[in-house]
Amino acid sequence: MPTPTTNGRHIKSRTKSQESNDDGLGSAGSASLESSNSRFRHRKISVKQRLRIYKPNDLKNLDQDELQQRDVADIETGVEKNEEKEVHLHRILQKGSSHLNNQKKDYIPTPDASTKWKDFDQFYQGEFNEPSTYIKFSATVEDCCGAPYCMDEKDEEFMQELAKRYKGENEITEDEFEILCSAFESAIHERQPFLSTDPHSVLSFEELKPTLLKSDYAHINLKTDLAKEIGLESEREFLTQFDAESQIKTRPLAVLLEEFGPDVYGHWKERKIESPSTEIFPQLKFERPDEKEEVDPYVCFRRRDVRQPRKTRRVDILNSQKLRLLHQELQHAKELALLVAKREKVSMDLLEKGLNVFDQRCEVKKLKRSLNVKGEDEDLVNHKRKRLNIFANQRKLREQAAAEAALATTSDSSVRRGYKNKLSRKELESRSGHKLSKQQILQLQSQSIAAANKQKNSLKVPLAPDEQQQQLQQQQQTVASHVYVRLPSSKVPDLTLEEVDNLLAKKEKNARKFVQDRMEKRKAGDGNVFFNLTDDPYNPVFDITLPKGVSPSNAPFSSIASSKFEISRSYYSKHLSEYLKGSSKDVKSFSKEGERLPQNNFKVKKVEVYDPFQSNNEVHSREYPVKFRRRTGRHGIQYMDRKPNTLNHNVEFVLSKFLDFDAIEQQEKNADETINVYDSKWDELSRFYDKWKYDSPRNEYGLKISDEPSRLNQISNSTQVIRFGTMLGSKSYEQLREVTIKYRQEYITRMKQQKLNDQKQLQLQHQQEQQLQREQEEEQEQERQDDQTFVNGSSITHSSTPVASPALKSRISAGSNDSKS
Amino acid sequence: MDAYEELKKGLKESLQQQRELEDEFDRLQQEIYDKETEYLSNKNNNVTVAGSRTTYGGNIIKGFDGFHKTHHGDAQNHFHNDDRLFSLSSAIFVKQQHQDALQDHIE
Repeated sequence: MPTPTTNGRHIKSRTKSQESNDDGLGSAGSASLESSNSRFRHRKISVKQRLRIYKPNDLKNLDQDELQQRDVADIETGVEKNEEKEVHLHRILQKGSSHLNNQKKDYIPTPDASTKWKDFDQFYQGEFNEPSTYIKFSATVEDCCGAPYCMDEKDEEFMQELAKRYKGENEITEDEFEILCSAFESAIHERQPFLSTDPHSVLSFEELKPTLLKSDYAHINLKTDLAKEIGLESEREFLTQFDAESQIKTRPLAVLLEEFGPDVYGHWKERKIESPSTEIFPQLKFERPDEKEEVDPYVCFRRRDVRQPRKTRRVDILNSQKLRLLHQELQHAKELALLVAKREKVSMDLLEKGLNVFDQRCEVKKLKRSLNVKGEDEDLVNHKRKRLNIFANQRKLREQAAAEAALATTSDSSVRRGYKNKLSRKELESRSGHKLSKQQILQLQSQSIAAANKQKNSLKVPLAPDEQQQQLQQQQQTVASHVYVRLPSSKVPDLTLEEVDNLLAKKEKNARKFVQDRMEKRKAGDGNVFFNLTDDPYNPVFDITLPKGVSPSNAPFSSIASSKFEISRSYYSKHLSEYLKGSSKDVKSFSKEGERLPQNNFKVKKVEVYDPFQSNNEVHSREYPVKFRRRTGRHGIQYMDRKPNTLNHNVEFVLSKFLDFDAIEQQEKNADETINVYDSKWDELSRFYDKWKYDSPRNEYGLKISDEPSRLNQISNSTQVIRFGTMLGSKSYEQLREVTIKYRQEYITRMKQQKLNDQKQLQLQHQQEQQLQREQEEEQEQERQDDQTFVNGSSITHSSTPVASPALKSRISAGSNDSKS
Repeated sequence: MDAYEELKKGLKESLQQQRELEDEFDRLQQEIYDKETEYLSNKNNNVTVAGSRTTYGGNIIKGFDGFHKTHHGDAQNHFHNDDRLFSLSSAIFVKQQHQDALQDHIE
């Protein structure tokens, strides 16, 4: 007993527990048990809940009462509540509350299974071979270990007697004996399920025999059926996976019954009657609904039945449907499995045959050598057979499908229309039952299409005659390929025809007029201010003449040469040449001293110098006599505008906007005055002036910065011309060569393609003709039928009116000619 | 000499039988393959009963897991060539498959 702690509650609870101990099965104990049960509600362990961990040395300090509660509560008896009342179990459960007292333990009486059998090793010495798979199938052990009956010593004695009686002539093996006994057992269970009530009423052998023969013990019938289905010879023995290995040597039950039935049955019957509750072997306990109340010590060890869930109509339907599906699946699987079995059988036969052939060949060879026969060897060697396997078949199918698709694209549109109600190749195949050549397929398809058309037409019986005609035409189109639909004369619209050329010309004219109008409008808007150069792409700005040394043939090669072009006339600036020469009258020149040079002084080139600070605006800069302006209009159209470069307004006027000249002057006057540097206008001016200081092609001394156009790599212009020219020449030659080679290659391939196409068309034409002939035949037949129907007076009109064959033929040939040309 | 002729005749017969057996074998293999395809890729494998569907087809191979449950939504019926348990149980088939793969590779 653990020492009680000082806690008062503990002492109280201890006394309580002692009480219960004293009482044993008394009512007080059970009451406390029940109360503690109700007090201690045990919950499931969850991660959120803290659990206390007790160490071993904590145990003695633990609350006794608490522990007991736990013990009682934690016992999961594993039996149903009402079964806990079974005497032994009940006692144990009750004692469980107080078993800490080291009292003698109680047991539920169970048969002793702890003794060892000395001879075990003698009988069970089979070695365990690990199977390739752990799960072979999901049958119960009982299903797979042969006869369920197990011989014991008594049976062995009987067997020995039996053997003596037969004197070794016709012996029964142990397996056979077991089979017999198992058969008896199952038959009796079927005939006399309540034998235990009166064991002596066991049927005689003769009475039981029909049942025995009828019952399909060890699935003999099933096996024979299987053998039959696979095609095995009846005498060939085989085992399924469900069969025990011992079964292969046993004779069938019917034979055994004839031979040993009465003898063995006598022995078996004797044992049956002797044994308790008429079972020779102990049986597993099953739950029987009517025996539920029975207090049986073994009740805890019975095999439990699954409780049936509630049934509803819907669930019933679902389940039955599922069972049906399951059946279907199993049927499928069985079918496949049987096929596999057949295949295996065939392959076994094949192997045997192979061996057979080999042996025969050997013998033939031997004889042949001894007889000295020459030749006749073809049977003696293995010929490689081209076997069609699944994959080859698939490949073939795929290729055919691809070829068909290619055919579909090359054939005309009407046939493609026909493909809409096409029958797939497979269907056709299945219909005809064997593989078809491509051509046959095509024919069949066209037939089916025609049939479909007929069906359609016959559905729409009341057709207007012209509609009929149209359909006829359509049918013709299925034969001859045409892009345009030919309308009947009644449907051709009454219109004056216009030539395409005229229409196009008109359109072009309108477009031009539109552009013209727009341009005029723009010119009016521009007025005299801007001159638009872009309204005519050939509007020359300058007349350019080549200098004397340059010939027109090599001039375009050199961009450098263009610098030597001479502008003889400018259209927009009349005096351009003069400006360029420096002899313009508009430009005034001054000497170093600032004196104006006379107009006719030709020694000084009057080149304009741009100087915005020059108050005299008559001096022009070196800018162009005309101003061009690039302008981007709507739709990204670029305009080049020209504006006459006349500086009419005073420069100072503009400058005075930026500079305060008065302030500068004042500052100049009072040079001694100190002012803030940042406010100095003079400084501003000088800085401003600096900005323009170098905006001139001349240096400070009035010399040109560069005289000539830049020379590339210090090579003279003429050399550049030659170099550049030759470079361009060789490059263009290479390009030309490449292009010609490419062109030739293309030409060759085109010719090849054309040839191929021609061949294809020939083939197609051939096919079409064949197809046509068939159709004609059909149609003629149809016609005959039609005639008959007409005679009968029925008003059904078949739209598939026959077509005169020569006309059609000529049509086709014409069509093919067209496509050829 | 007669014995020789007889033997030859026997050999011829055997060869003929062998050829027939080979044909039979090929036919069976093809049949198994086709049936298997049909079974595994069962087109109408969605059977609707009382508003719920059950997947059917290929359960022998894939297991009956969830067979008793009803499925909603699209049940996929893809199957892999490795599922061809019945065909694959033949070594010849496996060999052919291998060769086919090789040929594909070459192409």
